[in-house]
Amino acid sequence: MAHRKLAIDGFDEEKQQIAQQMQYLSTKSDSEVASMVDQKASAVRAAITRGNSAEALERALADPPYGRGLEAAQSANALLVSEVLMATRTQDINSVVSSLSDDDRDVLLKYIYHGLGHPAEFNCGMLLSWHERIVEAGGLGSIVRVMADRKTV
Amino acid sequence: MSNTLRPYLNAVRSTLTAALCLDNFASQIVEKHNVPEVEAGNSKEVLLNPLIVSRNENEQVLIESSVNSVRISIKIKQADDIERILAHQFTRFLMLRAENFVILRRVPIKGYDISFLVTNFHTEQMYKHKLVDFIIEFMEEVDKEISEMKLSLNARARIVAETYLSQFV
Repeated sequence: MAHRKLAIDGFDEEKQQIAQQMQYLSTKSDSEVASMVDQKASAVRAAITRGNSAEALERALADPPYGRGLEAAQSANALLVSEVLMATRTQDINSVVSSLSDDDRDVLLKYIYHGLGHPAEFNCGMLLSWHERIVEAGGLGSIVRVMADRKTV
Repeated sequence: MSNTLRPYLNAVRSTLTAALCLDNFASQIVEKHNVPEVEAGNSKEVLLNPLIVSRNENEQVLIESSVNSVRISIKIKQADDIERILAHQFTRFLMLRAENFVILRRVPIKGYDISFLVTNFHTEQMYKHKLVDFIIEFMEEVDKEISEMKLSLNARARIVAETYLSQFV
């Protein structure tokens, strides 16, 4: 009776293809995206040293690497974003969040969930306090958009 | 409540409230079936991105949502062997009686200690905010319960040892 326990739908190759097709696929190659992130990183770090964390965050969130096959660039960009978040003082969080556009806020929330998914590499306490401010500013809609968006970071 | 626990629970609360937006949705594969899509996993297009909220590596919540069901898996803090045993026994006790807890899953997801499955039928019968409150309260209580059990276990062990050794004095 072993055959009854097999989930035959799992063997359907078409299903696997559908699962892949649903993920966002970038037109750029991994190395192109990685060099883009590198270029961004220097501008972001310059803004951090000037103490302008709003500008640094806006730059870090611009043009994020989406989709599958770009894991290296994605984790580099996530680390860059968390660097900016770390450099921001606690009393400035509210003003920085309110200065972001709605789209940027959603992207930032994606990165926060990415960070919370990897607690070994990121500082969860800091991410959680940012999470709270963003949800205050953007409402539950921003969480729903993170869940529903196929453009994962 | 300690300082780090509050933002963690707040993040879980808002994520859960956003995820619990469920609707009746019959299976697209088998006629006249209505299964929780997050468990069946046969139609990928109705699954949403799973989200993880973590306080640290040992305390995490995984929230997997779909069109008609949400699965919530909790990793309970286990600092040492005693806490590991207590957490295992405690969750086992609850999961053996899963039908009394309505939304509790009999087996946890791999890597987590306890899982809940909320379907659209649960959100139709119960208030959504009460469901969220239940899970948040469970997370608060389970830590408290386990540290309490650990204290009483240690106290009991000390008394037993003292009583036993007193005959040799």
